[in-house]
Order: sequence, then C-alpha cells, then structure tokens
Amino acid sequence: MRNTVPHARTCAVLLAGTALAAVPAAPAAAAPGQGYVRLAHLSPDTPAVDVYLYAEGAKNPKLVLRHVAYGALSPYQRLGGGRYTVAMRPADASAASKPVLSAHVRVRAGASYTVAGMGPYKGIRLDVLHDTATLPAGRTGLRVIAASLKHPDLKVAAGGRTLIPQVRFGTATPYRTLAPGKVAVKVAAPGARASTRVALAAGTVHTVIALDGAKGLRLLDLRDAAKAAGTAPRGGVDTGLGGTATAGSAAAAGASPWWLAAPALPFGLGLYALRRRRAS
Amino acid sequence: MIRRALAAALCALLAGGCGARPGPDAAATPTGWRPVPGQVAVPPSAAPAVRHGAPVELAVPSIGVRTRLERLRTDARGILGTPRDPMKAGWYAAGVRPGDQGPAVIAGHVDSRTGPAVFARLRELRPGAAVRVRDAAGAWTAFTVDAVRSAPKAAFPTAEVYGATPDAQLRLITCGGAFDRARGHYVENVIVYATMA
Repeated sequence: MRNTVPHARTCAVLLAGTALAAVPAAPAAAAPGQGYVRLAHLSPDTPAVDVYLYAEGAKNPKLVLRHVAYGALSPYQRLGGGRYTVAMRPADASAASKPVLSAHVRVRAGASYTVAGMGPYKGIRLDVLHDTATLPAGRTGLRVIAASLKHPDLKVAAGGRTLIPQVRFGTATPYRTLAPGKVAVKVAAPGARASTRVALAAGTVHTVIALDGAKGLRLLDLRDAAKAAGTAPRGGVDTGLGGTATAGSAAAAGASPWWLAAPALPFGLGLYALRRRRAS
Repeated sequence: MIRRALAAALCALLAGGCGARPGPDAAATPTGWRPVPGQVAVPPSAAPAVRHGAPVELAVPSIGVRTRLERLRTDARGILGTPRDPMKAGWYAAGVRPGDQGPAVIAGHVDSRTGPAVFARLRELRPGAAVRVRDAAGAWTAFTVDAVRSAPKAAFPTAEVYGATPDAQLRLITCGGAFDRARGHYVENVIVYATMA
C-alpha cells in the first residue's frame, strides 16, 4: 500500500486473517526514524467509512482508505516520526466535508499504533492504541479488543487459564505476558463462546479481536510484530579484514575518499601544484 | 427518473448536500450516516501469510552484488559469525527468513586481507535501491532500501537491527569507519535497512 495522494479506489483495506503482526520488545524497529500506524473500524453498528490520514496541518491526505467496514483493519503503514491526524468520513463523502471522527496521533520512531473507531454508533470514538510492548526475554504478549455489540461483556482464557476476567465492549486490554506456545484462546460471554488457536512465538505480540460474526461471536487473531524467536546476537559484526583500509585512515568503505584525506600522497601534491600554477 | 428526482430533492434538503459543498449547518448529520444495527464483521479476504523459504542468493544490482549465501550463526559468546568466503554474504539462519514478518539479517565482508570483498560497495546504496533475495525453490523476494547508517560496533543498535517489526524487513551489514590495525577490525558497522517491496 502506498502513502501517496489518494486516487486510491484500489487502496483496498486488507482484512485480518493475513497475519501481518508481531510485536517485538521495545524499542522496535522500523527503518530508523519511522513508525507504523494501522487503521481499524471496530464499531458494530456504524456504517462503512472512508479513512483519511494527514500529516499534521496538511490539507491533502497522505493516505485514504475507502469503504472501511466494521471488522476491517488496514495493514500497518510506515510513516516518518511526527504528528498526524486521522479522520473518518462516511463512505463516499466528500473529502472537504466535516469528518464524523478525528484524532491526532504522535508517531514515535520505532513504535506501532492502531487507530480504531471503537464503541457503539452513539458514542463512537477514535482511539489510539499503542502496539509496542516491552516483553521480558523469551516471552510473548497477547491483548484483546472487545468489539462485539451483541456480547458486550467477555471473559478470556488462554491455554486453559483465565487471562482476562472481564473486558467490556469498546475497550482494548493492555498486552498480557505469556509463555510462548500454540495456545487456544477462548472468549466467553453469556450465551456465546468462540475460540481460536494462536501460535505465540517468543518476542512477538498478538491482538485478538472479538467481533460479531455471521454465526455469532467471531475472533480475529493479528500478529502485531515479529522477530527471531531466540536471543538476538550481541554487539556488531566483524565483517572486514582490512584489505582496503589505507594507512592511518578510514577504509574505502568508511568515511572520506582517500584522495581528500591524504595530502602527503604524490597525487595530492600533484593537485596542489596544479592549483598553484592556475592561480599565478 | 422519479427515484432520481426524489433523491435529488432529499439531497437538497439535507444540510450537508450531496456534493462537495459543505452545508451551512456544519453540525448536520452527513448523508446516509445512521446506525446500522446487526452488522457482522466482513470476513477476511486475503489468505494467511505464507512462510518464505530460507534464502540462498542475494542480488543488489545497483552495486553489482550477486552472491550465494552462507548460513551464519552466533558463537559461544553470542556474537554473530561471519562468512568464511569474503566473496560471499551470509544469512543469520536462526533469525527471520527474508520476506517473513520481522527483520531478516544478511552480513558480508567489506574487504578481505588483500582487497575488496562482496560488500565493498554496500555504503554506496541509497534509499530506493532494489535488493533481491532468492530461496532454494527459485522464488525471488524484492526489498527497497530505506536507509543506510553507520554505527560504532561498541554501541551497536541491536534493537533497531534485530527488534520485531510489523512488516517484512531486511538488514544488510558490513564494516566501515576506521580500521584498528592493533585489533584487526573495523570500528564501525554499516547497516542498510530495507523493507519488502
């Protein structure tokens, strides 16, 4: 998905199910100086919206997602660190019309966020969720977003044990730390239950969203960010044996080109002489 | 015909209007904006992400790099080993596969004892340059360079290089900076950050 001016009818919203998620320990890693934002519609009785993302103060949006319906989330967009505004308008409303919702997001380098329309139609809010979690080494994180209007009070168990005794409709829990493994996440409400198998790898974090599906309570599992399961290598990498390093100065692969750094060399002298001749 | 006229009449009535003109009453409910009870979540349209194969070859056309990949691992001290062949780069095999979610890491020597090596020109890369990785099945995955940075090995940005990411990322690492002849190592690493295209 490109962050370009929106003629983006084709800028379709990728729905969950593509496990584009994982969470790393803080501080996470975009290209240095960049963060990630994804957009979500989690209000069951709110119609589809067009979602606009603006750099702070900009008139033209950086990104437009069209016809984002309940239960849809975009992939993470990589953005330079800074301030942004997210605005939601009814689907097909003019870009100049007053948004029905808007929120400011401050994107910090290396951090991830979900900006979600949450709650019921009457009282819908645009919440900015922080998707970056600090995890102890070798652990994983799991949080739940309650987005079912029919079953507004949920209890969540993971791996057979109660993880979250209660989560109310329109709220997101913080990430809970868990041991890695493939666990059954079970969500229960009076008269309803749903379950999904989540593969929790060390160093990753997941968001499970409880939604109203065609057949009752439905769970969406998103891996918010991923990294290698084991401990990261320590320190740097010794990938150089010195064959191109010049005497007393940086390598060819390093700082200034050698012909600027070594005035004592004959070539340098030659240049100097040439300059003198020209000047006179 | 009648429906259209009716729709037009309705539009005219609603303060928001049906076009680009905002109505005089800014607080009026936009057209068609009302609660829709009983909506169900739209089912996901995309297939789950496929796991990529282990990489066997790397190509960086703009700097003339084409190399098969050794498999790298950490030593007893936890430090990442380097390719035995200076003309080959290596992939950190216990890490992420290029194209999978998270940061894949490939390292290569900038020079051998006698001259330039596989990543001699790595620091010439610029944002926008293409990087391609092939797996054993022959599938290529493309990445685009976002940034090229140097960092002292003594203050290596481990979190930035190895920390989890929401998308598929790649880091290419080589040496740079001054060469410490007493210790036989360069003092800096040059790190190229790239995102799957």
